[in-house]
Amino acid sequence: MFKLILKKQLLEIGTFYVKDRKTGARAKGSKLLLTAGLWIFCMFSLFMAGFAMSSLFGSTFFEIGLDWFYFITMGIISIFFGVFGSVFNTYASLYKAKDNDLLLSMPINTNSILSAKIFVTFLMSMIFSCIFYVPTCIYYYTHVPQSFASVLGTIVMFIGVNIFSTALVCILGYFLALASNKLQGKSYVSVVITLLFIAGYYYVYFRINKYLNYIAANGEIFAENIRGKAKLLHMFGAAFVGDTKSMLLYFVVFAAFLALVYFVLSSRYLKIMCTNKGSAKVEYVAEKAIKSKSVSSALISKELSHFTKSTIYLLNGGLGIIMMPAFALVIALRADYIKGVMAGLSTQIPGIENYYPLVIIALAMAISSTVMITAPSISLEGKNAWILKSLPVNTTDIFAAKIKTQNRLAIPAMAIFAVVTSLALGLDYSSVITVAVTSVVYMMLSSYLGLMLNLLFPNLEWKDESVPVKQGAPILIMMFGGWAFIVILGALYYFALRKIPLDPGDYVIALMVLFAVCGRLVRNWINTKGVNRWEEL
Amino acid sequence: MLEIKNLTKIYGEKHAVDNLSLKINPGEIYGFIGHNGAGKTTTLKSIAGILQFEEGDILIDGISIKDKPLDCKKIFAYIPDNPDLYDFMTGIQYLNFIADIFEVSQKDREERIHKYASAFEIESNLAEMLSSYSHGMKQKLAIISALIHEPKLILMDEPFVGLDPKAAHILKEYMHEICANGGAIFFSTHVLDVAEKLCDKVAIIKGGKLIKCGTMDEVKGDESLEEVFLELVDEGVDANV
Repeated sequence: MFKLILKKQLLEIGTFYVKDRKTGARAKGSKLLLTAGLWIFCMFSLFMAGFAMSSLFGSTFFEIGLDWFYFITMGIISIFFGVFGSVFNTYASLYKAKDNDLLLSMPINTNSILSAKIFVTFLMSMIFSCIFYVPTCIYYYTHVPQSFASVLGTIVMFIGVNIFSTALVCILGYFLALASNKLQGKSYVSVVITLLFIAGYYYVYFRINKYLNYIAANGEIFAENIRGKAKLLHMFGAAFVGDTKSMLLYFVVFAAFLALVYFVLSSRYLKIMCTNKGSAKVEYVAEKAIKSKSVSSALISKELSHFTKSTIYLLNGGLGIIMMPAFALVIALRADYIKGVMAGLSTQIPGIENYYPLVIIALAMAISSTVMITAPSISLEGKNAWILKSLPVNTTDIFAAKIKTQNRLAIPAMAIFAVVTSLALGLDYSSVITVAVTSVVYMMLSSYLGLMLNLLFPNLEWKDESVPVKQGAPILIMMFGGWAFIVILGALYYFALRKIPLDPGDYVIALMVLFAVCGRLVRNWINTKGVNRWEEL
Repeated sequence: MLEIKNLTKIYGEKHAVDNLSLKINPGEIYGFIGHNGAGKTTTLKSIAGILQFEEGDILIDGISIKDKPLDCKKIFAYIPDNPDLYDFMTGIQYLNFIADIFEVSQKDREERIHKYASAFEIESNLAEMLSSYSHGMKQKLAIISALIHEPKLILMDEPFVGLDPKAAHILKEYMHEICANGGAIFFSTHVLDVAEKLCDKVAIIKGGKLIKCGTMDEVKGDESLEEVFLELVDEGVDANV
């Protein structure tokens, strides 16, 4: 039974990438190629980041024989990646899966359901931690002479670390499911908690680089303290480099921890899977509740309601909206420091202050790549698509509502970011205006592109919202494609246009025109071919 | 009210609906029966403008759904077999949304929501999230949302599935009321007893093809609808349109 459920779980993940949702036939070569391309691009980018981190620590620690300390740092980072990469997937597939009721109704032992789903969580965790762990090991193997024990240590501890991550993810996912049940219908509380979570996440994210550099610079002192005062932590690092006793101890401890989590969950899994008790009784007052709106407002309200009521949509689609004013605030508060750093670079890049507008636009574009409200919006219609399709509304109005929802939320945030950052870095007023307008036009282009990509790569057959919101091709293309676009535009200027010469200010205006023209073209596509695509769905 | 002319809908190489023609007049309750996979839902979805079709045409009140889909959609309401509604809305938010799309005035929507929601006994649940609704409650809300703009034609796919006996009775009363006021109803069902008692006319579909249609007496004669249906689907009689 375990094998059967495992097969189903893996099939569910695999089907999205290799099968056509409508016909059930194997996906077309172009889709497979695009999916493979995206995966390769994502993996390559993250592997490169992993190599950079490995070389930062490896080059410092290997020479002084602190390879065990290297693995303490990289092991903890791998756990972090494994846990945060798979926690929402675990929450969705282990506790909130739509097939839970169906599986429970079948003559299947709940332990088989639980163990198969936990095993898939373990595989997901392995995939996410691989991103960091593989470059870590490659750097280690190529820079330190290896023995059988040290190679075995890296393999055993990779499995051990992921067993530990799986246990942590199961616990975190459980609390997430409990919180989600408690907060059902209380969208404002959910939003506040989500925002706090995002703030906390980014606080750690932006601090971590500073801490890692600090650790790299003071590794010897840390290592000495750990060796003397934290024996267990020392053993954790030693296990990776071949200390058999440490390896055995940690593997057994991690396995016991997962077994304990499994034991606790298995005794309560039936209850956990049935935790959805519905929302609390809310009093209905017709006079307050019945309100009329225009068709356009009703469609926008519907989009907005979906966005704000879905924690996973809000979290994945709206990060940039929070980040833009937050970044603007940080830049405004640290403007002198940033200007000082930039001034330090002026010997290498003469007249660096002339490039401020381009830097601000690049930053704005990078952050706006995390605003993805339109990108999953078609797929999110899912089984409800019949409602809009059977109602007397123009398809272009449906699209306009989706675009307006993103624009209304993101454009003010983008404008705040561009204006505040430009003023903080001392740009003149005409530059402030051109930077702000260019950033806003890019945001609009981004809204159009997200919708266009979702019309090209729709998925209405999902079982869980996290699939279109987190794993869809439009999401990946928008995020990584957005970043690649910045690199291309930057390289184009640096290697070609700068030498014409083209003034940075003129390049900003050229970008504004480029974004506006692209936006217009994409919008035309949406209102013509996009309409046909929607009607064919 | 509804005229289906030589409708053909093809999935890949399979003819889900094959050259189907039907005419439903004002005041008629028209039943649509056939076994699973016969093409009932595909036909209803094609009429509702949810599915595009390859050949033929569908006229609603004389207007082609192909040429003027919005004008057609203003006239009818569609209730699917599985009421997947917006789980992120409350019941009243969903009804308001539908009423907004059909531009139902504030006064009319207040009256109608009260009338239908109290009749189906879900008025007190309207402030709750749809994610907490049972299948039957969602079905009732889908019916109310279909009635809220007083359509001339209602298309229903298995409307009685999930409804409690009282709600099913109320729905039947509303069906008669709509037809008495000049409207028409076209609905699919597997419950042949209901079809026999409720419908003025009935159409039987098999493998995408219409095999028999007409008034209830024309179709069943002295036999029960169940006997006729079973005979027809087993034998595959030529269409008698």
